[in-house]
Amino acid sequence: MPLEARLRKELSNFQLDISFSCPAGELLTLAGPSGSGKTTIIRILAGLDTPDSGSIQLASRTLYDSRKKIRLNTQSRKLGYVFQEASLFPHLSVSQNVAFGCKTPSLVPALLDLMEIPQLADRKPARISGGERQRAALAQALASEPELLLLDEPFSALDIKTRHSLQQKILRIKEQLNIPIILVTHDLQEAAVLSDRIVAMEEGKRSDGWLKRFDGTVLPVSDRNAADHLTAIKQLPGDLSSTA
Amino acid sequence: MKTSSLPAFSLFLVLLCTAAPAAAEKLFIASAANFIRPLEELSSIYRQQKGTTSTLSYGSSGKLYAQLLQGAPYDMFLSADKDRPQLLYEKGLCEAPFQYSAGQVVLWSRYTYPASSSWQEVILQGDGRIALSNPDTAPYGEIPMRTLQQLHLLQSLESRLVYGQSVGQSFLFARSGAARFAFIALSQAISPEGQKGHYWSIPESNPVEQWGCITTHSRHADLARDFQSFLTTESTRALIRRHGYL
Amino acid sequence: MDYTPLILSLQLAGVTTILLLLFAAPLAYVLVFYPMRGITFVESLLGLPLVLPPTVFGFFLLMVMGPEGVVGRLHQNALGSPLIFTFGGIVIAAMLHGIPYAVQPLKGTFAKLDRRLLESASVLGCSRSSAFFRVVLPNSLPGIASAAILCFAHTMGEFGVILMIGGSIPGETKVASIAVFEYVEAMRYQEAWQLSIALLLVSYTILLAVNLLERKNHAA
Repeated sequence: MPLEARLRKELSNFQLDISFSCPAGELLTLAGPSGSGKTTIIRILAGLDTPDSGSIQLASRTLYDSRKKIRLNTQSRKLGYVFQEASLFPHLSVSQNVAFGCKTPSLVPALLDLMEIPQLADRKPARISGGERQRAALAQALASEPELLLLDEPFSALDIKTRHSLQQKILRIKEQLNIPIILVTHDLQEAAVLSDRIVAMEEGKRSDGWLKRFDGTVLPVSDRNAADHLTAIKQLPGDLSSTA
Repeated sequence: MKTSSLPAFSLFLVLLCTAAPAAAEKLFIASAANFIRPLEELSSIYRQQKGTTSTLSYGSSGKLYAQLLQGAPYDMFLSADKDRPQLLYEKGLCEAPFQYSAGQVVLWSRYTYPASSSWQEVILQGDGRIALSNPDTAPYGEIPMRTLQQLHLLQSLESRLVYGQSVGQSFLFARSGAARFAFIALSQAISPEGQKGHYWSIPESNPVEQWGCITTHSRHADLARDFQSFLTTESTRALIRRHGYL
Repeated sequence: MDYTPLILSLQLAGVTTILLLLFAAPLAYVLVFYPMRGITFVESLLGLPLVLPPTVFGFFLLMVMGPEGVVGRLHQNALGSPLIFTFGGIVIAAMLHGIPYAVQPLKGTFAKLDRRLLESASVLGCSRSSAFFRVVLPNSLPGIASAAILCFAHTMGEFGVILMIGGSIPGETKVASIAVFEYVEAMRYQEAWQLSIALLLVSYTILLAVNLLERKNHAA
């Protein structure tokens, strides 16, 4: 069930023009400085935004094809989508939130267990912490049995401990669900830990010289953390400049 | 600067003083709505004859009466009934009332019915709503209501009655087709709008005596009295009759 | 003392409010979230009752809802009874006149909703119409309540339009505002006083109840 995407869209200050693919069971990271078009890509994949041209193929299903004039609406794309800050429904309890798009009711308690939040089942989102909300959001996304999982900087607002714990969850999910997962992040460490493939982006396009550029523009060379990130990334399997 | 502007200023004062009596020559008349058309003609004839202009204010007799009780600045009140001027007179708010016309109630419809039918046949045969003015406030509602009662028609027709706030609104209901019939004044029925439909006279109903009076707080009582006598001249009466009054 | 007009006013306000909200809520939803081409023309049209004098509005309705008017004829053909001078007729008139009082606060409430909630609902497979019921409505209850109060209050005070198209039929279209007007016209000031005071007390009680409820909700 691989995902294949070719997208072209005129944005206000540059043109998005990119293609990538992600096999089932793998996680592809879209990485790049903010404003490089990562979130736009995720939104296009979800059908919340429309490209000017291109195509999106998910296994045998065509989600979008400008030439064949196919555009599946969001609700029929069978996606999971976790936003940067959880968009749980404030009027529903955690378990009702998880059950929202769920067709298999027995999944709900199992997912609450998986995300280690069964004790929060009856709480409203306003009365749980940010990390707990992201756990619930992840459970909600998985409950609809998605064929593609989209994660838009899901952990960037969380403390480091919660982030690490949730990253481990993602790795487990990746192994268990045989679906493509697309992650947007600008945390290099996170990309290093989770990704099977990284698409480095600059102004809407793939950037082969990304490491140098990214390092040079966003993170000063003298920054110790940056050096750590680089080390981590260098240890990734595969060649960064020829991903996908 | 100061001295040169002084003559201009005094000229202005003089103009102001001479303008004031001219403005005071105006008569302010409150009239029942059914009398609009003859009164407008009469006031323009009167202006040509005597040079006195009049400001006309229209409404239902009930509303104008309530305004007069609260000291509305009218010089003359032309009511659509006899009672209200009489009540004002008893309260000392106006001089002795006088009758200036008598209207007739007719049945009007925009729809065509056999020419030979009487108003009773028409109203009983036809279906649809029948509009009349609020019988509590408007003589043109009170008189047809009394006629329906006397002829024992009220019971069978009551469910079809709708009430306008004035004879003008009753006419609008029937003119628009919202009501099938309306009891209105003959003066309305023979107006250009009224001629777009048909009317039946109602011989059983009394004429609507329309009385008027000059208010006691009028500052132009002499002018008002002059207008009152103008209302009773033979040529004026003829004009009023042409508009469908007795 | 005859309190029929007051009861009729309450019935009119109640029925109008419920029907109007049922109509205005989906409309406001579409206007806010799925605006189509030419939306400005539609919105300006919906705002007309705020601007037009009730007499003008009533005059148009009289012409359209009468047996010779388009709407009146359709109603007559479909249901075999006239629309004008009936309770149903003044409900429709009050609804049309009340549209902006319902649509504006609802639009305000919907516009304040986090759009990601709707995006999230559609990602989870929820259609636009079911998102309206499952997400938009439950998260807009205070706004819906204030729209309801505004509609109710506006309809209780409805006068000019009903004067034009009601025909003042006791128990059918003679609502409290009309009855007070007629009492005054007929110089029956005592009845005018009684009905006016009753209207004032009822209105005050409703507003008081609403405010107490709101305060309680805030505290909760």
